[in-house]
Amino acid sequence: MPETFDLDRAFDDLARDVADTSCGRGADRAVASSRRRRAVGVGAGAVAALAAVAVCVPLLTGGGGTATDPAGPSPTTPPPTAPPPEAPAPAPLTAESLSAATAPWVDGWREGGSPVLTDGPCLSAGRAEPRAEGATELRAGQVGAGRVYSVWEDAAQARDVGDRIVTGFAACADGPMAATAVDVPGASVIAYDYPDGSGADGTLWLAVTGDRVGLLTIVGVDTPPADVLDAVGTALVADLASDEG
Amino acid sequence: MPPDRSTSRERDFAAFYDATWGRTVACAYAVTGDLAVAEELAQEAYTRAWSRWSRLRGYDEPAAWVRQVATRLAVSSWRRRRTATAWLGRQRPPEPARGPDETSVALVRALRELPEAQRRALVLHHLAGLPVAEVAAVERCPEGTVKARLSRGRAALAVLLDPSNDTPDNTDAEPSHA
Repeated sequence: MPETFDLDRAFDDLARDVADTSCGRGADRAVASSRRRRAVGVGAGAVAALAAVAVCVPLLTGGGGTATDPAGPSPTTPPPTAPPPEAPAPAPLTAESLSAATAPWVDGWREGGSPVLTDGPCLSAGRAEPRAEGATELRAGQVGAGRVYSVWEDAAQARDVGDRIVTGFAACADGPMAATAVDVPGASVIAYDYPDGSGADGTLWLAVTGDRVGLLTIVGVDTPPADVLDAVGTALVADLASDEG
Repeated sequence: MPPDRSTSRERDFAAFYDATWGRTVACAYAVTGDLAVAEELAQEAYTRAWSRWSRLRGYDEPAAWVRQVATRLAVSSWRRRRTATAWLGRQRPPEPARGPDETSVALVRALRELPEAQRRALVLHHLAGLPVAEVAAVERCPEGTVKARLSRGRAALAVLLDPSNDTPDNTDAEPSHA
């Protein structure tokens, strides 16, 4: 067998077979996905993603008032939008709803486990105190997720917090972050992919709707597919609209 | 019929996509062993290719770039998804279309028996079509190391795919870890 084994032929057969079996999603979808992504060549630093959320978010949201207030909306922060009729129905983000949003990319989320957000409700740090806040940590095997929401005095303040989150998070990311506008009816959400310094990727979803800011980060797994980006964004907006969010 | 509003650049890219999709997916499939995941990774490679298409289309072989990206994504994906593979298989609905044939599945299964470095070398060289020098650059190792991995990987695959070795856990097929 070794003398007659033709690996190139075997691989050619494999490629032909796969080509016959798989039809792909189409070039037009690749083009559309690419156009939705807007590189934001920002920051570098070596921080593992699990630590990044815990360390960065408190710094971003005030850090003793060292950050300057932006004069206007940052191009990297989704503008606040009032929930229109077609916005996702209010629903708290739970392990079950996150599993539904991320499957089959990641599934089997459970609340608790080793903390991803070791600092709890990070958004309470800083000069301004949110009117309400909360945080949840979830795990699915080796994949971790941290969710933080906060309610502020008004939309302008919420937008300011969103700006600071993006700026500070980018400063801690271990390489360029790529931003993707996420399709959520009636809302504007941006997802950021970033390398976490340990070889894995992390994804941060940031939603600002009205006076509310929600973020969710998932670490320890590859970049999610586009439909998961949208589904998680929708779940995050629904979470913000719920009583708990 | 709606007017075709795509640009010549998009049509050019679409033709490239259609012509090269199969082998690109095969590269990712050979590493991950999961066709659905491979399709997802290949699509991601084409998404990245479009953002560089003005430059890539001038390459002698833009397909090699896409296959290399897909393979790299597959390698990193495989490393991180090993624990997720089980539930991915459980959660995914039944494939509406037929899967790869028995020979392809056997080849991919055999590839996954190899040490990772050997598998990467084989896929990048034989499937993605990269010359040894480029594989060495991708792997950040000397060309001699790549050649050794290819040689050992080919030998191990030949044994693993030998029809007389019908025992899945054939210890004779244990490859060396180049």
